[in-house]
Amino acid sequence: MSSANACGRPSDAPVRPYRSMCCFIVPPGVLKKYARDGAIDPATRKALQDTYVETERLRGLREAHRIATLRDADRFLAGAAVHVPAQHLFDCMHRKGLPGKAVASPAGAFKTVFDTTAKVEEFYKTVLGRNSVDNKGFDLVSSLHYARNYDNAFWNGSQMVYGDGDGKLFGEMYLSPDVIGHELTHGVTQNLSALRYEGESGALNESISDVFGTVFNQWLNNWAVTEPRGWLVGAGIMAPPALAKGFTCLRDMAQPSAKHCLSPQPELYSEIDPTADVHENSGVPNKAFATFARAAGGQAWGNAIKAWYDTCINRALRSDATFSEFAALTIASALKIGGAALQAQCTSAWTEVGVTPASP
Amino acid sequence: MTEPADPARPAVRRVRIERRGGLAGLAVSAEHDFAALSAAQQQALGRVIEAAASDRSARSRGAPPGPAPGADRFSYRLRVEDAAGGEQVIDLPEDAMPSVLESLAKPALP
Repeated sequence: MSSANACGRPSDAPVRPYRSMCCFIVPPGVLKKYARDGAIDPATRKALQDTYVETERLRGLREAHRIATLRDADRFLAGAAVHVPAQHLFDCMHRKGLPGKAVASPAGAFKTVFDTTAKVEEFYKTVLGRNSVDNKGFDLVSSLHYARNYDNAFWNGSQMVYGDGDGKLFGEMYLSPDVIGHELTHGVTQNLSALRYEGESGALNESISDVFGTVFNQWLNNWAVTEPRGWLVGAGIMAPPALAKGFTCLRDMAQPSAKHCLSPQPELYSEIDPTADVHENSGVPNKAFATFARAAGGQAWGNAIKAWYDTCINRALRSDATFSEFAALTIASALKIGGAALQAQCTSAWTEVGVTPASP
Repeated sequence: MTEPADPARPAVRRVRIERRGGLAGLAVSAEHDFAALSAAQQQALGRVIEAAASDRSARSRGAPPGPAPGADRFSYRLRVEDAAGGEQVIDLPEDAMPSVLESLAKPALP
């Protein structure tokens, strides 16, 4: 049988934090004064003194409670500022409904996606100082086995979705780390410039996903800018029949028009078709970044990616930005991040792909 | 059912399905005789044509078309040729494309 305390609450009931609500009508200073006043009879003075002592005891309790509450508030606020994004995995079981069935204990393909997604999150945090896609610890949701023979991966505005491929062109779409980085970066862009998904702004949106996806892959594998594999998009998703025909990737940022690309792209601004798909025209800014990073040398996750990220978080990057406007912003970012030498390398890279930076 | 519900609409003769987008950005285009489609595909196409007619009616009252949200989604354009020689162009986001019609526009290795 449970006992009750002085408040009438059963002693084994859950203890809830509460605020002290002690208020005093007679100020403690007045109690103290009259407790020592010889003109007042001894019994009353004793009662006033007892009240004063009790009042001071309660005041001490109240202050201790206030300090404890403040400490808790600080802990709560600090926790909110560094909220670690959780991951949620789902199995579509080859249907199209999203997100699918929740996966409690990731194994096999789900473990691969979980681990790689955690690495993308770590890349953004340690290299760029960004906490998830919204910089506020947005939880990351991934759905696998989407539809049947689905040869695609996408970001649907709130989560990542991966198909298993058709087995002829592509295998499982999550097998390229850069693809996971690519899709998650669409979430980052959505939270920053929200580059409109058409025309040159759409091609920039795609290019930014390729840039951060491939640099994430280079960081993951500790590849320097001189490693050709580091500039391939989708090298891990090519199915055996595609590989047998010599297609080693979807795109190659260092050589966008190369024959080993299943989806070759124009390399010069003068060669693009303004009405073409955003994944086609992204070759121009892709090559500009690869040229810039290779000129800067070392590892692309040094100054090169930091200059690009500085542009991505720049409020001056409008949602309808052109290549020319984007180029001008990256050149300004390069100066800010790495000084005149990096700025010159960035300017030269845009010149090589035929893009003239917009005037400030 | 192989014909649209509207008896005033001429019979469908051919359909060209174009797919764009996706992470790979591989453009696909394929043309099919209506008569060569399976019954399920003919029915699905009929429903798409009906929905497009309804959508056009909605748009004429000011409702904008809605693209699929996010990025790297597929988008489809159907060019429907009727027996009278007319052509109807229907743009569909991936979410609105019937699964049985998707297989009519699959990419192949070059």
